[in-house]
Amino acid sequence: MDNLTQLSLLPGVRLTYLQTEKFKTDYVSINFLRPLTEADAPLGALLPSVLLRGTERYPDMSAICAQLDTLYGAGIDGASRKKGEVQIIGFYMDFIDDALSPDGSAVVAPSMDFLGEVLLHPVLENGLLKAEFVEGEKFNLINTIESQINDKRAWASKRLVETMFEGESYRISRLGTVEQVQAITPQTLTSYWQRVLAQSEMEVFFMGRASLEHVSQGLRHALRDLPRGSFDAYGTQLCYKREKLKERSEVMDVTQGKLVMGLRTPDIASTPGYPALVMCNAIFGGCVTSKLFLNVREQMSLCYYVSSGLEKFKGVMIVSAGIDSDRYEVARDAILKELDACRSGQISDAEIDAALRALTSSLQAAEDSPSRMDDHYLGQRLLGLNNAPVDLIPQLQAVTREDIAAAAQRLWLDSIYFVKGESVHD
Amino acid sequence: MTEQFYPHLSERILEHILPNGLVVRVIPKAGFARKYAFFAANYGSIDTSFHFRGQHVRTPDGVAHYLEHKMFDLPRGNVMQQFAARGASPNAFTSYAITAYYFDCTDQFEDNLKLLLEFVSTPYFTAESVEKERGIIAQEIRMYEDAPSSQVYEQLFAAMYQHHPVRAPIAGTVESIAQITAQTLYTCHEAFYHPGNMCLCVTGDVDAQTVFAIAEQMLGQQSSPVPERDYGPAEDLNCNALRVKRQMEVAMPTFMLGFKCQPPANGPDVLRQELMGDLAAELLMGEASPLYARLYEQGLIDPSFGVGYESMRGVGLLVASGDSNDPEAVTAAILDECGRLTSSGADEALFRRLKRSMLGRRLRDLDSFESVCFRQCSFLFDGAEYFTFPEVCEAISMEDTLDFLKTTVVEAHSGLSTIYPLED
Repeated sequence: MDNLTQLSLLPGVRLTYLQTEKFKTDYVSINFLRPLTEADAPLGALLPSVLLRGTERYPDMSAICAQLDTLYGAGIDGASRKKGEVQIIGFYMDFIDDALSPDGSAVVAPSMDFLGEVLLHPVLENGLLKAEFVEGEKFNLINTIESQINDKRAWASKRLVETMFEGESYRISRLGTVEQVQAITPQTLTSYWQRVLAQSEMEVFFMGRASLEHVSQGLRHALRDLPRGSFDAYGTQLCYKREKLKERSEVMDVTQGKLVMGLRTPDIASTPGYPALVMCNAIFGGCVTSKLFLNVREQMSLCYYVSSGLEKFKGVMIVSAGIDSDRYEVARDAILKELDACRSGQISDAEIDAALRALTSSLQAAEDSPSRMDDHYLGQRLLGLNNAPVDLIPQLQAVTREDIAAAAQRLWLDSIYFVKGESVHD
Repeated sequence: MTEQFYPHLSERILEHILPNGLVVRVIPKAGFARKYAFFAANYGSIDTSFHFRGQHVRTPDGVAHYLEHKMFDLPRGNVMQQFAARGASPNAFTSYAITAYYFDCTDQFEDNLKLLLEFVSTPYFTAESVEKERGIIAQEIRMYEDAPSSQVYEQLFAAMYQHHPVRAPIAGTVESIAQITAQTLYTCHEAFYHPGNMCLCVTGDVDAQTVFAIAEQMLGQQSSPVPERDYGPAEDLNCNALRVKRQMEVAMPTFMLGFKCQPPANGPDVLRQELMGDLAAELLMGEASPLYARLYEQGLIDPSFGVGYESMRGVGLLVASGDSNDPEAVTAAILDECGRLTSSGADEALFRRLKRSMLGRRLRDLDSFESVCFRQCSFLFDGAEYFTFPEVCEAISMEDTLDFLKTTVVEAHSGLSTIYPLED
């Protein structure tokens, strides 16, 4: 992309900078790339919220809030993302660009400064993160973990992942478990924070109006106290072993059953088969012209929702459907029948064309969304690639029906998880 | 065509009003790949009772939403596929107040716009297709019934309002939609989907004259009968501090607290009251308020806690919601704090910062095509001009805001809806 610049801000810290005049908002994210491990996941999930509780200059939530309000309602959020078997923790911030600041006061530099303050200068008591903040945020994280059961669709997906990836890091929830969070102390969290700062490769992303010089200077200044050491390795293990299908179910208080099916593939975003897999997913269940949407939802009225999606780092396709609890077998078989149609190449030119158009439009539109561009370039870094979203378009255009069928043949069903209503008996 | 420039926003609105009353607005945005068109009817789930062509009509709950599902059918087939064939993703939603159809594309914008205007203005329902949709909508309703986040507010509205149709869920119930026929849909389409009751708003890197010409060509011939809506008698603000609760499979109690206030009359006041309602909620209990910090530190609220002002014709409600192990304690603390603020005054510096924050956040929100078009249409239907928000916000004083709190945050006007975990 012609408006893209990448440079090294500090050892192991890469800045991806995208200049554009089209937004009123500037967007920046700071990310630490970490291996997803049982021990670190809960610490990574907890750390951003503790750091957002108070800093040396803004010692409590009211002071933090007052500073954000003064910056014309700047937004900051902590995030813990999971991509393959990599945990990415950090912060993103958005704020009005200086050019649009109603009273002309500077917003960009103070916002970056604030971000640095949150990362590097939290309130410490005897050298440790403040116990009150740690305990308060542990309580919230535990509630978040316990509340996962409220959303049954997401719950079914979570249970599927735990079933399907038993023995692999990918099964680990980015939030950790209640027991693990309970065990966190100010000591363990502080030493994790120090380890994250010194031992992580980092990706910083900016998209907006402010000049490269302004942004890189602002960030270098904000990160001037960042310790740098040797970096912890991270990456995703790919798994090609086919095992016996795992079918699990659980009875819950739902009126609508939630069916989730997990498939594996050797194709990930950095392998040659990926464009065909993307086309295959779009045709099978990824868009409104897909076989699942048209045949299973619209024609057979079997599902309220049904769609498939890809995880491009680990090589996974997940199919998710909301169905009547007593129609499990019918729905499962109808979904698999559509996959078989893809495998045997029963794909029309119209289906290929519609999938291509939907994907093209979505890839072009990504450039209008800072958060999608952030997510994209972060993913590219993990994959060792550096393409723009639109660079995939010519590769998709080159995919043939045979390529799509071959991609479908490389997919295999690994596990099924079903959350069903109480009134249904086997 | 008229052109209005808003220097505080660096935005322009190009407007053309068709002789039959359709308002077409274009908000040009240079440099974007996406083009977005939003076509909305001033017709939502609350419009269930109305006078039309000399008759009083009472329709089952959930018709507006059912109609939205069925509009995508044309005699030649479902339009989803036609949009998709051109790389556009169409969608629609029904709220209490409006129904909106929109699409997003990067290519073939003009053809997609024509298709949008064609399908929304072409009713085509058969007994068979209406019957088939019933199963799909029933599933959707069941999904809402399983979601504590929907149940907590539906339960609150149902309890706090005596007559107003906001009592019923937007999609209706499995029982109410059983009464909907093709004829019901035709009647409601005729009554509400006409140019005088609709607004088309387009944003992106588009040519306004082309948009106006397409609107003229597709919709210029249609006339506009006017239905008269009936929301029942004015609501009593008093709801006697009612409590409604039910148990569901949730990990911790989730609640929504409402304070009923006088809804503003159609006109600029709708925008003023929304901004003031938001400011009042933030001043009393928002993230920057002393009360929020105290409740958060006590563990009574967590990051799920949110506050705001909800309004539609005949309804005005200041709300607070979130997860808490003691919603009663949160309610009591909010009432207490309001008494303290209104008797001994609030922090002037905090109020100024809240206004600054509101202005900045709403300015940045103009980057969102969805939000720009939605707000244009909904405020236009209510007689207000959304892009005047910087001036309207500037003119709101702390004194007015405290007066609003004093008359609104009153125990007798409050209702508390809670979803509790099931007992083991």
